[in-house]
Formats: sequence, C-alpha cells, structure tokens
Amino acid sequence: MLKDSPVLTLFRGLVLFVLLFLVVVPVFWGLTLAFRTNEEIVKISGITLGTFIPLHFTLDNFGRFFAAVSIFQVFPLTLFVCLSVMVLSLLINALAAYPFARMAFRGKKLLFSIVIATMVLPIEILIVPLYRIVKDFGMMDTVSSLILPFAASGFGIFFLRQFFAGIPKEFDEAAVMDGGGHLTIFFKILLPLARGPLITLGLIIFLTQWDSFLVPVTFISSPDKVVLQVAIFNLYSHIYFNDTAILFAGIFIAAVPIIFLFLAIQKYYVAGISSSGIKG
Amino acid sequence: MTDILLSRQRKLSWSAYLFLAPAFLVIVPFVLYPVFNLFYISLFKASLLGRMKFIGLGNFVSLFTNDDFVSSLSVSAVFMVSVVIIQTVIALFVALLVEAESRRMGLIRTIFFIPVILSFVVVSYLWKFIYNSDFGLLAAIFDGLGVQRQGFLSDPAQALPSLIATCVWKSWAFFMMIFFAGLKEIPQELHECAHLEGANGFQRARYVTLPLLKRTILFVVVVTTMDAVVRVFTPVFVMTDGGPRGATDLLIYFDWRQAFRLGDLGYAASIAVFMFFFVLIVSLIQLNLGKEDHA
Repeated sequence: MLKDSPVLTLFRGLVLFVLLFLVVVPVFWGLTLAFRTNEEIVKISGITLGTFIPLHFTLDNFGRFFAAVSIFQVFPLTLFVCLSVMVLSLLINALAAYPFARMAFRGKKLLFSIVIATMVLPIEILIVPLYRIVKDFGMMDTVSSLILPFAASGFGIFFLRQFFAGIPKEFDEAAVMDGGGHLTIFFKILLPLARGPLITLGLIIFLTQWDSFLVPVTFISSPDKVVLQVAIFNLYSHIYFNDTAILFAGIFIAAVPIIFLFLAIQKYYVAGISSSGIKG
Repeated sequence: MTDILLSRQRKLSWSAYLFLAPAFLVIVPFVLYPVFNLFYISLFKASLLGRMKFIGLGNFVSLFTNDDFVSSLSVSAVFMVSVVIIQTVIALFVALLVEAESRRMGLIRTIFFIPVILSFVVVSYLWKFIYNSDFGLLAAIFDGLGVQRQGFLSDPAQALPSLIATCVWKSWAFFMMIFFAGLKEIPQELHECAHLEGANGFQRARYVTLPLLKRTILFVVVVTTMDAVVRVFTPVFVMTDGGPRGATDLLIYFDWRQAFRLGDLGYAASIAVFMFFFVLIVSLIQLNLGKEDHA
C-alpha cells in the first residue's frame, strides 16, 4: 500500500465531513418536522437550536396522518403491489433467463436482442401508449395496472442470464443423471445457486416499485387504490394544503422503513451495483 | 455424457419457448406494442377518450412552432448538461479521493446512500421545504449568517439550479459506487510503479487512474444523460409544477401535461417519439464505444 501525505489525509477528512454534513443535516431536519406543530414550523429562523430540533416534541401529526390517509389500507396495498411485482418479476425473469443461458433454439439471437432493446426503453417515454393499452385491457384504475406491466423486465432477464451463464454446465449433469429435465435443472440447481443475485434483483425491483409515482398517479383515480407515494402527494396538494406537519409525518412513514430495509440488506444492493454497474 | 446432454437439449428445445412465454406475454403487450403504438398515435389528433383523427406529421410540425416546447427543450438541455457534468465530477472526485479508504468507510458509504434509496417523492418534498423562503432550512441558515434570503424555487432565475442541486444530491452517491467498482479493476501494481517513478498522488490520478477509468466514466455519463432526460418527472411534479414561468418545465413533464392535463395524446406521443430517438442515439453511442473497448 502507498502512504498518503498528511495534507491529503487532512483534505480527504475535510471533504468527507462536508459531504456527511450535506447529507445528514437535510434528512435529519426533514424528519424532525414530523415531530413539531405547524405553529412551531412556521417560526423556524436563524441558526438556533429551534431550527434543528423540535422545541415542543409532539406525536400528534402521526395520529392526524393515520386518520387522514387510512394508512391501514394504503400501507398494505403499497406492500402488496411492491411484493407482487417483485415475486412475479423474479420468477418470470429467471424462467426467461434460463433458456438464454442454457438452451439452443431457433430465434434465440433475435429474442435476446429484443430483451436487450427493452432494457434501454424507459417507461416514462411509453406512458401514452401504455395508458391506451391499459385502458383497452379494462385495467384502468385497477391495482393490476400497477403490477402486470412490470411483471417482467429486460434488465432482470439480462442480469440473471449473465449469472446463469457463469455457472459451470457440470452442475446440470448431476440433475440429468438422475433423470431430471430442464425444470429440475432450473429449480433444483440454478435457482438455489442464484440466491445472492435474486436477492439483489429483488431489492432493486422492490425499491423501484416503492419509488414508483408517474404510473400510479396516471392510472389510479380511486382514493381507495392509491399507493403511499401518491397518498402523500394527494394529502398535501388536495386536502391538507399548507399543513407541513402532517405532510412530514407521512414523509417519515415513507422514509424510515426504507432506510431500515436498506441497512438490513445493503450488502446485496452494493453487490448488484458492483457486479453489473446498471441501475434498475 | 456431453452427447447425452446435447441430444436431450435438442429434443427439448421446444421447451425453451415455454420458459420464455411468461416473459414475452408481459413484454409484448406492455413494451413492444407500446413502442409501435407510440409512433402510430403520434400521427393522429388523439384525445384521452379515444377519438382519433389522422393528421400525418401535423404534431411534429406544431412541435417546433410551439414556443413552450422550444423553451421546454432548452430548459431540459441546460438541466441535462448541468446534471451530467456536476454529478459526474463530484462522484468521480470523491471516489478518487477516498479510493484507498473505500473498504474502511462502511458507515460513511451507507449514510451517503440514504438519498439514493429514499423515494423521489420524499426527496422532492424534503427539498421543497428546505428551499421554502419563509421557514425553510436554508432561509433560517441565511438569516443566521446575515445573508439575504433567496427565492430558490419561487425565483425564475434560481428554480432550475435549485432543482439541479436536489437531483444531484439524490443520486451522486450511486455513481460514486459505480466509480468504486471501476477503480477496483485497476491493478495496484500500476500505482506502485508510478510511485517509484516519482509520480505524486495527483499525477497518479491524472496519468494512471483516469485513462483506465475511461470506460466507467462513459457508462456513467450515458446513464446520467438518460436519467436526466427521462427520470425527472417526480421532482418537477412535486416541487415546481414546471414553474415559475416555465423555468423548470422539463421535457418529460411538458409531455405528461400535454397528455394527461390537456388531453392531447397525439401531441404528447410526438414529443415522446422525439425523446425515443434521443434515448436510441445515446444507447447506440454507448454500444459502439463499448465495442471499441472490447476489441
């Protein structure tokens, strides 16, 4: 290892400190707004203790938030959408990745090119035709409009194919010797070996769906079918205009579980970035 | 043994299609068909209710005679170039600076990643209130420092830079991680050689690391370029609604508004066709540069 000069070490420490400050202070400040009254929030000014921490700590905002958005409907629905997309997409992508990694068949090149091409097509650009087809299928304003279009992805197929292709074919032979077919190889050999990549991809899919806003805001109109991100938006823009405290109670509810989820399984997420270098 | 495997595989090759069927049942109606449908609708005067009237290239002609579109296009261009440059430079600079420590900075890295994993709705509201000119965090700090309060999102001159800062704040750490991954592939011996030749830290970064990191930098620039054009609907929708006076009316938001506020699907589709070709060209550039490196 090379030794760094003390100046460089000092400079590095300084830069890291400034960056930590720029990340932590805004997040912390936002989270404290959830524990303050509106009267206190509008008086925030100056570099004082009251700017950075609640002077009159309150949990009222959460009670008001839960009453306003029927959280026991919104939260389970949001989880249902995220988990359904995750499970469906993992299974369907893995199934499709298998023949691309292991089998010879007519049209393989063409079909794989199609998969690659869909990787670079962002949903945002296709929102108008997607709206029309969702409408034609009678899926407008249904939960399935948030799930079915995302039940497979070019990125997921590509990501898993790369992993399957790296598993030596000798592993398959054991299953074939026992008289197993492709389904046995897939379920008994490859899927268990792919535990790490499946968790990584699952986490990426889950977070993408959790973050999803354009699609639900465009397709869903019934108040009883909104997901959390849209519920927070609707709350502030339609019902509780200027009620900063209740908005940030919602922000707290949306932010904190995700931070803990990330802390729990971040090594898989980081592994995904390092191995593929591609965002979900 | 291999022969048995091969013959089995050939016999079973029809089953490949069964494995692929579920994926294509999703991709064909929800991705492939919409691509063709996008081009088709762009040739029509089409309403949300489904009325269609063929007008040929009419939508495209009115695109470039519409001042709002041209303005949105230039706002998007400024936004894209700024985000790509600022974000890539920060991510690369920090990655190079802390490279040697990257293994030991577990907790710091985790904290840097918090904005990346927070949803864009959460980040957008957070910054909307940090920028709030009455009781926002920045207004409070400016008061404390005796600096005049700024309008930020409510000031047409400051709104776009404020939006850019928010987007960079959210995503830079993601690209720092990608640079870490790229840096890991550079052999340590090269650095030690350069060091023995008398190169200092800056020279090592300039003449050893950067040239070997070219491919990663290109990848980051391409991904950031696409994200800055396409993945920016939420912050505009939540923070500024495109304003003030169109100062933050990014193309993707302008497009969405034409379709779902004004009900002009054909016009919106023609804007999306425009973005489609942009994404296509950027992807092709990436593909070609990638090929060059492999050769």
